[in-house]
Amino acid sequence: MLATAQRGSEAAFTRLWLDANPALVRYLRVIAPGAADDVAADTWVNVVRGLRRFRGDEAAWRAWLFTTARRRAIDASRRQSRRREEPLHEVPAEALPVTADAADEAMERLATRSALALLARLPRLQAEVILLRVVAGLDTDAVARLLGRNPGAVRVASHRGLRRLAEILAEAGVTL
Amino acid sequence: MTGGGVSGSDMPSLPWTARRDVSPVEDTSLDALLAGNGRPADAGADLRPVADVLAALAARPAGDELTGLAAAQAEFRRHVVPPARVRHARRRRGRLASRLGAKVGAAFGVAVMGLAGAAAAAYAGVLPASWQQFAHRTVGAPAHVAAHDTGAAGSAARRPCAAYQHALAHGTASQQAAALRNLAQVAGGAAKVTGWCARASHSRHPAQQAYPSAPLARRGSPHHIRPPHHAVAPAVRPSGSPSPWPSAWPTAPPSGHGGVPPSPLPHPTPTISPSGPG
Repeated sequence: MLATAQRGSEAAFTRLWLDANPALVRYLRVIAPGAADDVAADTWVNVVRGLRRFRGDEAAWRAWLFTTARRRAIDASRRQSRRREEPLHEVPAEALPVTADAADEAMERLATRSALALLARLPRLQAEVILLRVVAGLDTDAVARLLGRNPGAVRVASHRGLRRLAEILAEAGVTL
Repeated sequence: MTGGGVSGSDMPSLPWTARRDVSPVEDTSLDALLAGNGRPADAGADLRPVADVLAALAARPAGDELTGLAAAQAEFRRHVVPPARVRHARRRRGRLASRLGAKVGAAFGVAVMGLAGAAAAAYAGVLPASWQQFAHRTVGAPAHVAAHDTGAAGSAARRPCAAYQHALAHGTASQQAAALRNLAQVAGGAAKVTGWCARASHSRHPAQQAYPSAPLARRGSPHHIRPPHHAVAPAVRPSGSPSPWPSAWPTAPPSGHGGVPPSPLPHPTPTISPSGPG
């Protein structure tokens, strides 16, 4: 599919986009709250422009897509911080993606957005590792390369994140 | 103060407290969850909510997660598809250019052939009067001789002769050949050309010597023809060089015509000795 898209097949590219964009948006909604859609569009612009030059299989391409998304999210965060001249800790709580009743929503219905809101309550590295493993479908080594860390640290971060998630859910009384 | 003598405010403030009701989870189980191998039903009681959360993270896409496809496709068409289309368009333009080039070339060839034929016809003197005059003005073809000047029959008879003479003086080899061929055809054969042109020259009006408006040959050239200023002026100034005319050509105008100047057709041998030093 990737090779076909690289040869100029719009149908193949559409398949790739439909497969990857939901995961991309979910990832960005956690690491770039408030700018996920813009960062996703920016990411696709960059990826499309480099599509013909890309060399690798679809797993590598997917890793490249999320690497690009992460860089664009960091750029967007810097632009946002310069524009607002406002430290992150001064952002009002209602502007953060984490809703106060995220756990309650999770109890009622584990919709995707609720799950993302729960994940956003984790430390950034843990949330990002879980998202890249579960949502993006990358293996530990790929996540380690993407984050610039060693695979052991990634594995530890993912385990801690899952345990913390379990604690949050237990605190909320979700005992299935 | 704690039992260890440490102030409570000095103790690390953990964001959460370890819950005794959450049992320790094996790393292998966590790895299985992350790899998508653990299903909520298969997970332990402690991990089942986590498995549900992970399943929700990987759920089917919602509608708002599929917006932006059109923009991405447009970008794809702009940066990935266009080169192929451009190449295709270039190929089409190339094919079109080659087709047009072939057509233009063919048209040009036809035009050249037409012009060459027209030029040959002009030098043969067989064009209609207005065309012949136009050719005379533009390419130096023999001028049209009006029928009322010398009579239609005489004009028509002289025209190929004059054309051949003009071709000899100014035309190329092919034009000369064309004029001779036309002349031979009119005369009824190559062997009859000489007599035919002689008879034609006899029927000429005295005032219409040679080619009244035809451009003169270069002075000093073997084909130079002196313009007939008056009836008694010598028509031909021999150059001393051999004549270009065929050997069967009439030698001289018949005598006894008094003031009628001789034919412009040169003699095989000069009738007047060139005057020169010594």
